[in-house]
Amino acid sequence: MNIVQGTATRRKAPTGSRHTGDRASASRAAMSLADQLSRLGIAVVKGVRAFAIVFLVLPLVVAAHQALLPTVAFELLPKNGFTLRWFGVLFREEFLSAVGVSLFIAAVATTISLAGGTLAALALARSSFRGHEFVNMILLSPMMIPPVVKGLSFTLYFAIIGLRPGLASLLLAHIVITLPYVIRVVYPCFYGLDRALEEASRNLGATNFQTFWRITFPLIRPGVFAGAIFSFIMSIDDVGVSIFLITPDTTNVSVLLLTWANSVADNTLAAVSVTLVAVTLIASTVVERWVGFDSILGGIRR
Amino acid sequence: MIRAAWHSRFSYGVLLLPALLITVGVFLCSLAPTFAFSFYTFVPPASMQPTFTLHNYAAFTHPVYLGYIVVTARISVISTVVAMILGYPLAYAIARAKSARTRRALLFVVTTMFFVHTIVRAYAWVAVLGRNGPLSTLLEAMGVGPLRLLSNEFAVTVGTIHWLLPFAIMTLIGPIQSVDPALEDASRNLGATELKTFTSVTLPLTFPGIAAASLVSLTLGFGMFVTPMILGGGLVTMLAKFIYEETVFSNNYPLGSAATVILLALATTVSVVVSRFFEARTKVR
Repeated sequence: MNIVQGTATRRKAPTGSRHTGDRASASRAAMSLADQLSRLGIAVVKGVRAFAIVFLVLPLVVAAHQALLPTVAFELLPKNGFTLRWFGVLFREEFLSAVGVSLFIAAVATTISLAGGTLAALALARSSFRGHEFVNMILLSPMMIPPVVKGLSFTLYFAIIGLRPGLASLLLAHIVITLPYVIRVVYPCFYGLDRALEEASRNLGATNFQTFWRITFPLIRPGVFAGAIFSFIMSIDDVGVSIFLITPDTTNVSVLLLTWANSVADNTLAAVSVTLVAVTLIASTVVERWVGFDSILGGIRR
Repeated sequence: MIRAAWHSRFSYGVLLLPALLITVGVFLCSLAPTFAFSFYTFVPPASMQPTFTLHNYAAFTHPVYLGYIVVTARISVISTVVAMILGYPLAYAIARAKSARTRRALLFVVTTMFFVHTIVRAYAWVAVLGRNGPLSTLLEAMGVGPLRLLSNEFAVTVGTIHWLLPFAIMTLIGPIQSVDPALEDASRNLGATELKTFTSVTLPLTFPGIAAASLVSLTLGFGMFVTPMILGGGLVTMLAKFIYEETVFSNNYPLGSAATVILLALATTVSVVVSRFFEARTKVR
């Protein structure tokens, strides 16, 4: 309603100034200068916006193109044609086992974080006690800390408590990494909830647990799903913590790719990059369809 | 009544317990040894002694080590500023998209970029800036002699901007959305041009949001590890990379721990400033 009225008035404004006579011509000249400046400003903003999109996406396109080239040398259309041979890396034992480790750690860490994080989010959203803010801050603190700080600290701490490097230590570290993201994403879901529904369930004789499982959980399921995706991706994405904790048997994709980036000088990494981008595109599409990006935005804002 | 309150408080405590146990028992406790070891004495080649020394911290007054802090700060500050400038117009387009389809399409691009693996995002710039890459080829065709575009601070800065940009856009959408469009309309109705409306209404109102997003993106910049590892070619040392190399390769855990405490102090100082800032903002409202 407001907006409609706004546009109507705006359209009237120039016709109004036409009647004001000679004195207005000077101010009209000034207005047109301001208008021109404004137009220039808008053009600059549009330019920056276009540049930002190109800047974001183009490097990935270049990497995708590179994955299809026979050598590292750039050729827009290679003389000997494009090739798929660099994609052979995807079936290499070393790569597959690293993928296995990454997926396993991400899946288990996400499951545990999801359980612990959803409960904590519920408690935080429903309670108010002295130190509420403080508990909230403590729970979210791991994501404010640079990954390498966590990585080194976990190495030293795990050595002291006698936890050897291996799957268990990697898993524990990844639970710490993913937990705050789950809390952050799931937390806002409890606010949009109609508590009368829970009340009704209890009045009809359901226990607290039944109420949570049959009423509350289905209502927050999109948020929990978004939290799971977020947590999974953050676990796969981690390099700074994992690099301190891996052993030759538990090398994950991140650490393997970092090693390759510093040692392999062919198009192998480009091929892996294209594949990972394709997987990410699928994940994004699924999230878009199922929950929409707005619940994801909550997790990114810190 | 009192018993009911006690009961609910107790059950909330139980719900919080697993998460608190992990965060406190694993994460917060893990910081203690790092802090302690930063005061230990390094015994070459690979051990340390529990004798108190400030030597590990004093090392950072040496120009070479101080340089690492300066490079880290410089790259994060420049990247943050550029990411905010590049990100704002896109965030604005998303927040004020006229059609739901435009909004969804732009959000899709930005979110996907946010989720693409960090190593892939850094490697993409190796492909672009590499010696045989498209940019070098183009520049040479234009007669601009062979330039080294990779393995320098420029490459690391560009990679950091690229890494921070999706994050910057997504954090800016919220503050821009929360500006009441009626205020912008009022400004236009009073005869202000689009530019004037933006510079004297929208921008000032989103200023706290921009500042908060910048500070968080600064802390992310301080901790950058992958990007300098891949794009710096061993020539650009940021603090996180220094910590990794000093401990895992040189076994100098005391010095690495001291660097960690310094990095942690930098990051937490900025975080505390952020939360204070948010408090101040909510109080004003």
